[in-house]
Amino acid sequence: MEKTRLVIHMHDTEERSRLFQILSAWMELYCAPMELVTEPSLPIQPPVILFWDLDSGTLPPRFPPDSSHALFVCAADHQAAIHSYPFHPNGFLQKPICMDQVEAALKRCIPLWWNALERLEILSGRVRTQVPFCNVTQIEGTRKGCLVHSSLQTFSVREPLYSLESRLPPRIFVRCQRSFVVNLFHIQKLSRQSAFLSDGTEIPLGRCQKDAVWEAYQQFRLLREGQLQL
Amino acid sequence: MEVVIAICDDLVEERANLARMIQTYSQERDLPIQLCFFSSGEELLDAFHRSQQFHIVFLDIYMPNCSGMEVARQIRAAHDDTAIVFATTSQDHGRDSFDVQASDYLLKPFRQEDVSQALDWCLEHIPESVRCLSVYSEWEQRELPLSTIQYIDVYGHRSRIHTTQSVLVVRRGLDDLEVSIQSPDFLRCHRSFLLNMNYVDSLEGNAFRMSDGTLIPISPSQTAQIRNQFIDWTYIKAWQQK
Repeated sequence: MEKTRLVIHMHDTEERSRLFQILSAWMELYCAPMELVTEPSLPIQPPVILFWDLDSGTLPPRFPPDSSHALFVCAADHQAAIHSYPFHPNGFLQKPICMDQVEAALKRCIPLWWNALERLEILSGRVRTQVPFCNVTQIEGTRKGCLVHSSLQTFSVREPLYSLESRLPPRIFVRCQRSFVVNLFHIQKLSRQSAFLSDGTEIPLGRCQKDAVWEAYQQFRLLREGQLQL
Repeated sequence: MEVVIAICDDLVEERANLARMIQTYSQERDLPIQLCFFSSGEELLDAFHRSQQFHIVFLDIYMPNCSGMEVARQIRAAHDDTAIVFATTSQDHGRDSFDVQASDYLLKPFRQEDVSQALDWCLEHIPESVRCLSVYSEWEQRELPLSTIQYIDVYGHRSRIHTTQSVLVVRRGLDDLEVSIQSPDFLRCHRSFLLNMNYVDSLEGNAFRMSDGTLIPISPSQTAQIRNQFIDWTYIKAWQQK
Protein backbone atom coordinates (compact mmCIF):
# COMPACT_ATOMS: atom_id res chain seq x y z
CA MET A 1 0.00 0.00 0.00
CA GLU A 2 1.31 3.47 -0.92
CA LYS A 3 2.25 5.77 1.94
CA THR A 4 0.17 8.85 2.64
CA ARG A 5 1.94 12.22 2.23
CA LEU A 6 1.16 15.46 4.01
CA VAL A 7 1.13 18.27 1.44
CA ILE A 8 0.96 22.01 2.07
CA HIS A 9 -0.06 24.27 -0.81
CA MET A 10 0.36 27.76 0.54
CA HIS A 11 1.93 30.86 -1.02
CA ASP A 12 2.29 32.90 2.16
CA THR A 13 5.75 31.80 3.36
CA GLU A 14 5.20 32.77 6.99
CA GLU A 15 1.93 30.85 7.24
CA ARG A 16 3.45 27.93 5.34
CA SER A 17 6.41 27.56 7.68
CA ARG A 18 4.04 27.87 10.65
CA LEU A 19 1.89 25.01 9.34
CA PHE A 20 5.03 23.01 8.52
CA GLN A 21 6.18 23.45 12.12
CA ILE A 22 2.79 22.39 13.52
CA LEU A 23 2.57 19.31 11.30
CA SER A 24 6.13 18.29 12.19
CA ALA A 25 5.24 18.61 15.88
CA TRP A 26 2.04 16.63 15.32
CA MET A 27 4.03 13.78 13.74
CA GLU A 28 6.38 13.77 16.73
CA LEU A 29 3.51 13.75 19.22
CA TYR A 30 1.63 10.96 17.52
CA CYS A 31 4.79 9.07 16.47
CA ALA A 32 3.48 9.09 12.92
CA PRO A 33 6.36 9.85 10.54
CA MET A 34 5.11 10.81 7.08
CA GLU A 35 6.56 12.63 4.11
CA LEU A 36 5.81 16.35 4.45
CA VAL A 37 5.88 18.32 1.21
CA THR A 38 5.59 22.11 0.94
CA GLU A 39 6.04 22.74 -2.76
CA PRO A 40 4.05 20.01 -4.44
CA SER A 41 4.20 19.27 -8.12
CA LEU A 42 0.76 19.32 -9.73
CA PRO A 43 -1.40 17.32 -10.15
CA ILE A 44 -1.27 16.09 -6.57
CA GLN A 45 -1.48 12.32 -6.42
CA PRO A 46 -3.31 10.45 -3.65
CA PRO A 47 -2.94 9.03 -1.04
CA VAL A 48 -2.54 12.50 0.38
CA ILE A 49 -3.65 14.80 3.17
CA LEU A 50 -3.67 18.19 1.48
CA PHE A 51 -3.74 21.60 3.17
CA TRP A 52 -4.78 24.19 0.58
CA ASP A 53 -4.70 27.93 1.09
CA LEU A 54 -7.81 29.51 -0.46
CA ASP A 55 -6.24 32.97 -0.06
CA SER A 56 -3.54 32.09 -2.60
CA GLY A 57 -6.11 32.64 -5.36
CA THR A 58 -5.96 29.16 -6.88
CA LEU A 59 -8.68 26.57 -6.52
CA PRO A 60 -8.03 23.22 -4.85
CA PRO A 61 -8.10 20.05 -6.95
CA ARG A 62 -11.20 17.93 -7.22
CA PHE A 63 -10.39 14.42 -6.08
CA PRO A 64 -12.35 11.32 -7.07
CA PRO A 65 -14.98 10.32 -4.48
CA ASP A 66 -12.94 7.77 -2.53
CA SER A 67 -11.10 7.58 0.74
CA SER A 68 -7.55 7.97 -0.61
CA HIS A 69 -7.30 11.67 0.18
CA ALA A 70 -8.32 14.36 2.61
CA LEU A 71 -8.55 18.04 1.75
CA PHE A 72 -8.34 20.79 4.34
CA VAL A 73 -8.85 24.33 3.12
CA CYS A 74 -7.37 27.32 4.94
CA ALA A 75 -8.32 31.00 4.81
CA ALA A 76 -8.19 34.10 6.96
CA ASP A 77 -11.87 34.92 6.43
CA HIS A 78 -14.31 32.45 7.99
CA GLN A 79 -16.89 33.11 5.26
CA ALA A 80 -14.57 31.36 2.80
CA ALA A 81 -15.68 28.14 4.51
CA ILE A 82 -19.13 28.32 2.88
CA HIS A 83 -17.73 28.96 -0.59
CA SER A 84 -15.36 25.98 -0.30
CA TYR A 85 -18.21 23.43 -0.14
CA PRO A 86 -18.16 22.69 -3.91
CA PHE A 87 -14.73 21.10 -3.31
CA HIS A 88 -16.07 19.06 -0.40
CA PRO A 89 -13.11 19.58 1.92
CA ASN A 90 -12.82 17.47 5.04
CA GLY A 91 -12.28 20.57 7.11
CA PHE A 92 -11.73 24.31 7.20
CA LEU A 93 -8.84 25.91 9.10
CA GLN A 94 -9.03 29.60 9.85
CA LYS A 95 -5.69 31.40 9.83
CA PRO A 96 -3.61 31.79 11.91
CA ILE A 97 -3.60 28.01 12.16
CA CYS A 98 -2.93 26.44 15.55
CA MET A 99 -2.18 22.90 16.80
CA ASP A 100 -5.74 22.35 18.10
CA GLN A 101 -7.17 22.98 14.64
CA VAL A 102 -4.66 20.63 13.01
CA GLU A 103 -5.31 17.90 15.59
CA ALA A 104 -9.08 18.14 15.12
CA ALA A 105 -8.66 18.14 11.35
CA LEU A 106 -6.42 15.08 11.27
CA LYS A 107 -8.86 13.17 13.47
CA ARG A 108 -11.27 13.34 10.54
CA CYS A 109 -9.03 11.27 8.31
CA ILE A 110 -7.59 8.71 10.74
CA PRO A 111 -7.59 5.77 8.26
CA LEU A 112 -5.22 7.77 6.03
CA TRP A 113 -2.46 8.04 8.65
CA TRP A 114 -3.18 5.08 10.89
CA ASN A 115 -0.68 2.83 9.14
CA ALA A 116 2.06 5.43 9.59
CA LEU A 117 1.90 5.14 13.39
CA GLU A 118 4.97 3.68 15.04
CA ARG A 119 4.13 0.83 17.37
CA LEU A 120 5.35 -1.00 20.41
CA GLU A 121 5.65 -4.68 19.62
CA ILE A 122 4.88 -6.90 22.58
CA LEU A 123 4.34 -10.58 23.18
CA SER A 124 1.24 -11.05 25.26
CA GLY A 125 -0.61 -14.31 25.78
CA ARG A 126 1.64 -15.99 23.18
CA VAL A 127 0.42 -13.53 20.55
CA ARG A 128 2.61 -10.80 19.10
CA THR A 129 0.68 -7.54 19.27
CA GLN A 130 1.56 -4.08 18.02
CA VAL A 131 0.14 -1.19 20.01
CA PRO A 132 0.51 2.33 18.58
CA PHE A 133 2.81 4.34 20.89
CA CYS A 134 0.25 7.12 21.09
CA ASN A 135 -2.28 4.68 22.56
CA VAL A 136 0.02 3.44 25.33
CA THR A 137 -0.89 5.46 28.43
CA GLN A 138 1.61 3.97 30.93
CA ILE A 139 3.77 0.93 31.52
CA GLU A 140 3.90 -0.59 34.96
CA GLY A 141 6.70 -2.83 36.09
CA THR A 142 5.62 -5.96 37.97
CA ARG A 143 7.43 -8.93 39.48
CA LYS A 144 6.90 -11.06 36.40
CA GLY A 145 7.41 -8.39 33.77
CA CYS A 146 5.18 -5.46 32.86
CA LEU A 147 1.63 -4.35 32.38
CA VAL A 148 1.27 -2.24 29.26
CA HIS A 149 -1.78 -0.04 29.78
CA SER A 150 -3.33 1.33 26.62
CA SER A 151 -6.35 3.58 26.22
CA LEU A 152 -8.59 0.52 25.74
CA GLN A 153 -6.97 -2.51 27.28
CA THR A 154 -4.07 -3.77 29.34
CA PHE A 155 -1.52 -6.28 28.08
CA SER A 156 0.53 -8.43 30.38
CA VAL A 157 4.05 -9.04 29.07
CA ARG A 158 7.04 -10.92 30.44
CA GLU A 159 9.62 -8.38 29.32
CA PRO A 160 11.23 -6.23 32.06
CA LEU A 161 10.45 -2.50 32.23
CA TYR A 162 13.95 -1.31 31.32
CA SER A 163 13.85 -3.38 28.15
CA LEU A 164 10.47 -2.01 27.05
CA GLU A 165 11.55 1.51 28.01
CA SER A 166 14.53 1.31 25.66
CA ARG A 167 12.12 0.85 22.74
CA LEU A 168 9.94 3.87 23.57
CA PRO A 169 10.34 7.29 21.92
CA PRO A 170 11.93 9.48 24.64
CA ARG A 171 10.15 12.64 23.51
CA ILE A 172 6.76 11.40 24.71
CA PHE A 173 7.61 8.78 27.35
CA VAL A 174 9.21 9.47 30.69
CA ARG A 175 10.06 7.31 33.72
CA CYS A 176 8.19 8.90 36.63
CA GLN A 177 9.15 6.41 39.32
CA ARG A 178 10.98 3.10 39.72
CA SER A 179 8.16 1.02 38.27
CA PHE A 180 6.23 3.43 36.05
CA VAL A 181 6.81 4.94 32.63
CA VAL A 182 4.10 7.34 31.46
CA ASN A 183 3.12 8.78 28.13
CA LEU A 184 3.23 12.58 28.44
CA PHE A 185 0.46 12.74 25.86
CA HIS A 186 -1.94 11.23 28.41
CA ILE A 187 -1.01 13.41 31.38
CA GLN A 188 -3.93 15.65 32.20
CA LYS A 189 -2.36 17.41 35.15
CA LEU A 190 1.04 17.38 36.76
CA SER A 191 1.69 18.41 40.37
CA ARG A 192 4.94 18.30 42.35
CA GLN A 193 3.86 14.96 43.81
CA SER A 194 1.87 13.16 41.11
CA ALA A 195 0.95 12.81 37.47
CA PHE A 196 -2.79 12.60 36.80
CA LEU A 197 -3.61 10.69 33.64
CA SER A 198 -6.59 11.18 31.32
CA ASP A 199 -8.09 7.84 32.45
CA GLY A 200 -8.19 9.04 36.07
CA THR A 201 -5.06 7.21 37.28
CA GLU A 202 -2.79 9.05 39.70
CA ILE A 203 0.87 8.08 39.55
CA PRO A 204 3.13 9.39 42.33
CA LEU A 205 6.41 10.88 41.11
CA GLY A 206 9.60 9.30 42.42
CA ARG A 207 11.93 11.60 44.39
CA CYS A 208 14.77 11.16 41.94
CA GLN A 209 12.56 11.53 38.86
CA LYS A 210 10.56 14.66 39.78
CA ASP A 211 12.79 17.18 38.05
CA ALA A 212 13.25 15.04 34.96
CA VAL A 213 9.48 14.57 34.65
CA TRP A 214 8.84 18.30 34.96
CA GLU A 215 11.52 19.10 32.40
CA ALA A 216 10.17 16.50 29.95
CA TYR A 217 6.63 17.78 30.47
CA GLN A 218 7.64 21.38 29.77
CA GLN A 219 9.37 20.30 26.56
CA PHE A 220 6.32 18.27 25.62
CA ARG A 221 4.00 21.27 26.20
CA LEU A 222 6.20 23.44 23.98
CA LEU A 223 6.08 20.78 21.29
CA ARG A 224 2.31 20.47 21.70
CA GLU A 225 1.91 24.22 21.26
CA GLY A 226 4.11 24.18 18.16
CA GLN A 227 6.77 26.32 19.85
CA LEU A 228 9.62 23.83 19.92
CA GLN A 229 12.07 23.96 17.02
CA LEU A 230 12.51 20.42 15.72
CA MET B 1 -33.37 1.69 -1.69
CA GLU B 2 -35.78 4.33 -0.48
CA VAL B 3 -33.93 7.42 0.70
CA VAL B 4 -35.38 9.00 3.82
CA ILE B 5 -34.89 12.77 3.93
CA ALA B 6 -35.85 15.15 6.73
CA ILE B 7 -36.52 18.85 6.15
CA CYS B 8 -36.35 21.02 9.25
CA ASP B 9 -37.35 24.67 8.82
CA ASP B 10 -39.69 26.86 10.85
CA LEU B 11 -41.16 28.47 7.69
CA VAL B 12 -43.78 26.39 5.92
CA GLU B 13 -43.13 27.95 2.49
CA GLU B 14 -39.40 27.19 2.78
CA ARG B 15 -40.17 23.56 3.60
CA ALA B 16 -42.52 23.33 0.62
CA ASN B 17 -39.99 24.98 -1.72
CA LEU B 18 -37.21 22.60 -0.71
CA ALA B 19 -39.53 19.59 -0.90
CA ARG B 20 -40.43 20.54 -4.48
CA MET B 21 -36.76 20.64 -5.47
CA ILE B 22 -36.05 17.30 -3.80
CA GLN B 23 -39.04 15.74 -5.56
CA THR B 24 -37.86 17.08 -8.91
CA TYR B 25 -34.45 15.49 -8.21
CA SER B 26 -36.09 12.21 -7.25
CA GLN B 27 -38.12 12.14 -10.50
CA GLU B 28 -35.10 12.99 -12.64
CA ARG B 29 -33.00 10.22 -11.04
CA ASP B 30 -35.90 7.79 -10.69
CA LEU B 31 -35.01 7.51 -7.01
CA PRO B 32 -37.64 6.57 -4.43
CA ILE B 33 -37.63 9.01 -1.53
CA GLN B 34 -39.58 9.55 1.65
CA LEU B 35 -39.82 13.11 2.97
CA CYS B 36 -40.38 13.96 6.63
CA PHE B 37 -41.11 17.52 7.73
CA PHE B 38 -40.19 19.22 11.00
CA SER B 39 -41.00 22.79 11.98
CA SER B 40 -38.48 23.00 14.84
CA GLY B 41 -35.19 21.57 15.99
CA GLU B 42 -36.83 20.00 19.04
CA GLU B 43 -39.26 18.05 16.83
CA LEU B 44 -36.37 16.71 14.75
CA LEU B 45 -34.35 15.73 17.82
CA ASP B 46 -37.42 13.94 19.21
CA ALA B 47 -37.55 11.88 16.05
CA PHE B 48 -33.85 11.00 16.47
CA HIS B 49 -34.47 10.02 20.08
CA ARG B 50 -37.28 7.74 18.91
CA SER B 51 -34.59 6.04 16.75
CA GLN B 52 -36.10 7.25 13.49
CA GLN B 53 -33.36 7.01 10.84
CA PHE B 54 -32.73 9.52 8.09
CA HIS B 55 -30.22 9.33 5.30
CA ILE B 56 -30.10 13.11 4.84
CA VAL B 57 -31.28 16.06 6.95
CA PHE B 58 -31.82 19.54 5.45
CA LEU B 59 -31.51 21.96 8.33
CA ASP B 60 -32.27 25.66 8.64
CA ILE B 61 -30.07 27.51 11.14
CA TYR B 62 -32.15 30.42 12.39
CA MET B 63 -35.12 28.81 14.14
CA PRO B 64 -36.83 29.80 17.40
CA ASN B 65 -35.55 28.11 20.61
CA CYS B 66 -33.04 25.58 19.31
CA SER B 67 -30.85 26.72 16.39
CA GLY B 68 -30.03 24.38 13.52
CA MET B 69 -26.37 24.42 14.52
CA GLU B 70 -27.27 23.26 18.03
CA VAL B 71 -29.45 20.50 16.58
CA ALA B 72 -26.56 19.39 14.36
CA ARG B 73 -24.20 19.33 17.37
CA GLN B 74 -26.64 17.15 19.31
CA ILE B 75 -27.01 14.78 16.36
CA ARG B 76 -23.23 14.41 16.16
CA ALA B 77 -22.86 14.13 19.94
CA ALA B 78 -25.08 11.05 19.74
CA HIS B 79 -22.53 9.64 17.23
CA ASP B 80 -25.10 9.74 14.48
CA ASP B 81 -23.44 10.21 11.09
CA THR B 82 -26.55 11.15 9.11
CA ALA B 83 -25.66 13.54 6.27
CA ILE B 84 -26.48 17.12 7.29
CA VAL B 85 -27.09 19.84 4.71
CA PHE B 86 -27.59 23.35 6.03
CA ALA B 87 -30.17 25.36 4.09
CA THR B 88 -30.07 28.85 5.52
CA THR B 89 -29.77 32.61 5.02
CA SER B 90 -26.95 32.77 7.58
CA GLN B 91 -23.45 33.39 6.29
CA ASP B 92 -21.94 33.28 9.76
CA HIS B 93 -21.80 29.56 10.44
CA GLY B 94 -19.51 28.26 7.70
CA ARG B 95 -16.69 27.42 10.08
CA ASP B 96 -19.04 25.80 12.62
CA SER B 97 -20.59 23.72 9.84
CA PHE B 98 -17.26 21.92 9.41
CA ASP B 99 -17.15 21.13 13.13
CA VAL B 100 -20.38 19.15 12.74
CA GLN B 101 -19.13 17.63 9.48
CA ALA B 102 -21.91 19.00 7.34
CA SER B 103 -22.13 17.61 3.80
CA ASP B 104 -23.12 20.94 2.26
CA TYR B 105 -24.12 24.48 3.08
CA LEU B 106 -26.82 26.01 0.86
CA LEU B 107 -27.43 29.75 1.04
CA LYS B 108 -31.01 30.85 0.51
CA PRO B 109 -32.33 31.52 -2.04
CA PHE B 110 -30.80 28.44 -3.65
CA ARG B 111 -31.46 26.85 -7.03
CA GLN B 112 -32.52 23.38 -8.09
CA GLU B 113 -28.97 22.81 -9.31
CA ASP B 114 -27.54 23.48 -5.81
CA VAL B 115 -29.94 21.03 -4.18
CA SER B 116 -29.23 18.38 -6.83
CA GLN B 117 -25.47 18.70 -6.35
CA ALA B 118 -25.84 18.43 -2.58
CA LEU B 119 -28.00 15.31 -2.94
CA ASP B 120 -25.61 13.75 -5.47
CA TRP B 121 -22.76 14.15 -2.98
CA CYS B 122 -24.74 12.81 -0.03
CA LEU B 123 -25.91 9.76 -1.92
CA GLU B 124 -22.38 8.99 -3.11
CA HIS B 125 -21.19 9.15 0.50
CA ILE B 126 -23.88 7.30 2.43
CA PRO B 127 -22.47 6.71 5.92
CA GLU B 128 -21.74 3.20 7.18
CA SER B 129 -24.51 3.31 9.74
CA VAL B 130 -27.23 3.63 7.10
CA ARG B 131 -25.71 1.55 4.28
CA CYS B 132 -27.64 -1.57 3.29
CA LEU B 133 -26.84 -4.99 1.87
CA SER B 134 -29.17 -6.09 -0.89
CA VAL B 135 -29.96 -9.81 -0.72
CA TYR B 136 -32.51 -12.22 -2.14
CA SER B 137 -33.89 -14.48 0.53
CA GLU B 138 -37.11 -16.40 1.05
CA TRP B 139 -38.41 -15.37 -2.38
CA GLU B 140 -38.02 -11.68 -1.86
CA GLN B 141 -35.45 -8.95 -2.30
CA ARG B 142 -34.41 -7.43 1.03
CA GLU B 143 -32.39 -4.43 2.11
CA LEU B 144 -30.47 -5.25 5.28
CA PRO B 145 -28.91 -2.29 7.09
CA LEU B 146 -25.24 -3.20 7.65
CA SER B 147 -25.59 -1.95 11.22
CA THR B 148 -28.05 -4.79 11.99
CA ILE B 149 -25.80 -7.61 10.70
CA GLN B 150 -23.93 -9.33 13.54
CA TYR B 151 -22.07 -11.95 11.54
CA ILE B 152 -22.33 -14.18 8.50
CA ASP B 153 -21.31 -17.83 8.33
CA VAL B 154 -21.04 -20.43 5.61
CA TYR B 155 -24.00 -22.83 5.46
CA GLY B 156 -23.29 -25.56 2.91
CA HIS B 157 -23.15 -23.78 -0.46
CA ARG B 158 -25.09 -20.88 0.99
CA SER B 159 -24.53 -18.27 3.68
CA ARG B 160 -26.43 -17.47 6.83
CA ILE B 161 -26.79 -13.81 7.76
CA HIS B 162 -27.30 -13.37 11.49
CA THR B 163 -28.99 -10.03 12.11
CA THR B 164 -30.25 -8.52 15.34
CA GLN B 165 -33.76 -9.71 14.45
CA SER B 166 -33.46 -12.96 12.51
CA VAL B 167 -31.28 -15.36 10.55
CA LEU B 168 -31.51 -15.23 6.75
CA VAL B 169 -30.20 -17.91 4.42
CA VAL B 170 -28.99 -16.59 1.06
CA ARG B 171 -27.66 -18.34 -2.04
CA ARG B 172 -24.44 -16.34 -2.12
CA GLY B 173 -20.92 -17.24 -1.14
CA LEU B 174 -19.14 -15.52 1.71
CA ASP B 175 -16.50 -14.02 -0.63
CA ASP B 176 -19.24 -12.44 -2.72
CA LEU B 177 -21.01 -11.02 0.34
CA GLU B 178 -17.73 -9.66 1.69
CA VAL B 179 -17.16 -7.75 -1.57
CA SER B 180 -20.70 -6.32 -1.48
CA ILE B 181 -20.38 -5.25 2.14
CA GLN B 182 -16.88 -3.74 1.82
CA SER B 183 -17.01 -2.03 5.18
CA PRO B 184 -14.19 -1.25 7.62
CA ASP B 185 -16.47 -2.51 10.41
CA PHE B 186 -16.49 -6.07 9.04
CA LEU B 187 -13.69 -8.56 9.57
CA ARG B 188 -13.09 -11.84 7.78
CA CYS B 189 -11.72 -13.66 10.77
CA HIS B 190 -12.04 -17.16 9.33
CA ARG B 191 -12.67 -18.81 5.97
CA SER B 192 -16.26 -19.45 7.06
CA PHE B 193 -17.03 -16.33 9.10
CA LEU B 194 -17.40 -12.63 8.44
CA LEU B 195 -18.24 -10.59 11.51
CA ASN B 196 -19.32 -7.07 12.35
CA MET B 197 -16.79 -5.84 14.93
CA ASN B 198 -19.40 -3.56 16.48
CA TYR B 199 -20.97 -6.72 17.95
CA VAL B 200 -17.79 -8.22 19.40
CA ASP B 201 -17.94 -8.41 23.16
CA SER B 202 -14.41 -9.65 23.80
CA LEU B 203 -11.44 -11.57 22.48
CA GLU B 204 -11.19 -15.00 24.10
CA GLY B 205 -8.02 -16.82 23.13
CA ASN B 206 -8.46 -17.76 19.50
CA ALA B 207 -12.06 -16.67 19.20
CA PHE B 208 -14.33 -13.66 19.32
CA ARG B 209 -17.17 -13.64 21.86
CA MET B 210 -20.11 -11.88 20.24
CA SER B 211 -22.65 -9.82 22.16
CA ASP B 212 -25.26 -12.60 21.75
CA GLY B 213 -22.85 -15.09 23.35
CA THR B 214 -21.78 -16.87 20.16
CA LEU B 215 -18.11 -17.82 19.94
CA ILE B 216 -16.60 -17.20 16.49
CA PRO B 217 -13.23 -18.82 15.72
CA ILE B 218 -10.20 -16.98 14.40
CA SER B 219 -8.31 -18.61 11.57
CA PRO B 220 -5.35 -20.38 13.28
CA SER B 221 -2.90 -19.38 10.55
CA GLN B 222 -3.77 -15.67 10.90
CA THR B 223 -4.35 -15.27 14.62
CA ALA B 224 -1.84 -12.47 15.21
CA GLN B 225 -2.84 -10.53 12.10
CA ILE B 226 -6.57 -10.74 12.87
CA ARG B 227 -6.14 -9.84 16.53
CA ASN B 228 -4.06 -6.82 15.50
CA GLN B 229 -6.67 -5.82 12.92
CA PHE B 230 -9.35 -5.94 15.61
CA ILE B 231 -7.23 -4.03 18.13
CA ASP B 232 -6.50 -1.36 15.51
CA TRP B 233 -10.19 -1.08 14.68
CA THR B 234 -11.09 -0.54 18.36
CA TYR B 235 -8.44 2.19 18.68
CA ILE B 236 -9.55 3.92 15.48
CA LYS B 237 -13.19 3.79 16.62
CA ALA B 238 -12.23 5.26 20.00
CA TRP B 239 -10.22 8.06 18.35
CA GLN B 240 -13.08 8.88 16.02
CA GLN B 241 -15.54 9.11 18.89
CA LYS B 242 -13.32 11.31 21.07
